[in-house]
Order: sequence, then C-alpha cells, then structure tokens
Amino acid sequence: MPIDAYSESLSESLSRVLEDAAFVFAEEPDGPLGDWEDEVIEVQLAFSGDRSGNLTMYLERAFAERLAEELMVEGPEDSLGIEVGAELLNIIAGMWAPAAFGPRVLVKLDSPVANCIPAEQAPANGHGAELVTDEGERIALRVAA
Amino acid sequence: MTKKILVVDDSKITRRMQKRMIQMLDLSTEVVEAGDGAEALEVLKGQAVDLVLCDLNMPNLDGEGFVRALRGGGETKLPVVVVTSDHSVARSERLIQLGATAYLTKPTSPEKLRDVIYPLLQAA
Repeated sequence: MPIDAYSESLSESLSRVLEDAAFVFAEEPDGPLGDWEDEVIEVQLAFSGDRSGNLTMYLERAFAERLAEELMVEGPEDSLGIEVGAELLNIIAGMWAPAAFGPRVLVKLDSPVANCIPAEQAPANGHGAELVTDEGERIALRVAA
Repeated sequence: MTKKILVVDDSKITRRMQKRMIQMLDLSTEVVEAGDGAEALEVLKGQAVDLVLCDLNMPNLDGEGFVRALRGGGETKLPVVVVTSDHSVARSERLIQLGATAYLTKPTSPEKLRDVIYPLLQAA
C-alpha cells in the first residue's frame, strides 16, 4: 500500500498522542520543511501478525527532551530523550494500527529501537505524516506496510 | 493501610510515569517495579501486592504470558490491570478472557488510572 494511504491515520494518531500524553499541540506545516537542523532521534518499530511492517519516527532531540519534561519524567540523563522517543512511538503505533487496519486486526508490536543521528542523516521529506508544534519543533512519521 | 502496587513494564520511562501518576493520586500506596513478566512473577513470590499494572509487549515474558502464568498458577484474586498502547478490541477481549481484570490504553492520565485502580484497591 502506498505511504499516502496511511497519512491521515498517522497524522491523527501522532497529534492525538502528543496532545493526550504531553499536552503538546502540533499541526501540519504549510509547506516542505527542508533539511533537519539539529540532532535527530530516529525510532524504528516493527509490527507483525495479521499485518506486518515497520514504523519510523524522527523528532528533534531537543523536542524529545521537552516531551520528557511534559511527561513528568525526571532527568537529566543522556538517554532520556531517546527513551522518551521510543515510548512515544510505541504509544503511537498502538493507537495507529487499529485505526489503519481495523479494531479486530491483531498486530504485535516489537520493542522500539531508538538512536540519535546527525541531522543530515534524517530524511527531509517523503514522510507519511509530519507535524510542527506551536514552538516550531518538528516530528515526522513514516510507515512501510 | 498502605497498599502495594506492582508496575510491570520494560520501559523505564513508563514505569517512572506510572509511579509518578500513582503518587499524584495520593492513594496511600507503595510502588514496586518489574521489567518484564518473568521478573514480575519473581517479585510476587517474595512479597504480597494488592494490584498489578502490567504492560503487554515485553521481552522474556510478555503481558499475556504473565496473566496466563499467574492465573494458571492458581492466583485468581490479585487484580491485574493491563496498561498498553495496543488499542485493538480483539486484544483487549483476549486479555480479559485470559483473566486480566481491566484493560487500559496508553496514553493514560492520572484520572483514568484512578477510575480503574481505586475501586480495585478498595476491594483488595
């Protein structure tokens, strides 16, 4: 299925989780955002079962660290943003899968794998969903299913 | 009397968040932690707890395996609340059928958590 087929459900799941979990409000950008500027956290999560595939999320490290504060997770720790990114994608995936495939479809989520990567290694476009917060922070999601 | 809650999740972040939420609820509770289902079963061998909050997707022994092992081992009264990111109806029905007491989806809030665990702790 083409990436575009899941754009709406990805975008809805992403914005709802940010809002419900961290009280962060984000919207789709007016136009292409271009290259990433800061360190980026890349999180990958594979799923299998009635449907299988892979979700990948990119978010600015500084944004992940702010989310940790919003989520009441105390720090500072070097890995805090990475761990928050991983848990965030886990929650998004759990909400997204039944929205995309149907509530009775059984999908098993693997543990997310998160890394911090240089900005130039993060893809600038081609995401299934991309949102920007009211403070200008960027987060993107893509799926291969 | 202080009640004891066992939080089972492989994510340290989630365990911290849940512990923090429970503390915010001011329910006179003590929280103990386990990183997966197998570790949770070990904790339960060594101490009595009043309620378990358990994730679903975990390494070693996942939430489904934990519930199956617990109920299969004869522990039928201890409330087990599954707290998971999995929103599928099929999954929640399956867990309740296996013996989970309640099914709560992430992201959760202190209010949602209180609504589910308060009556269970009162009855424990």
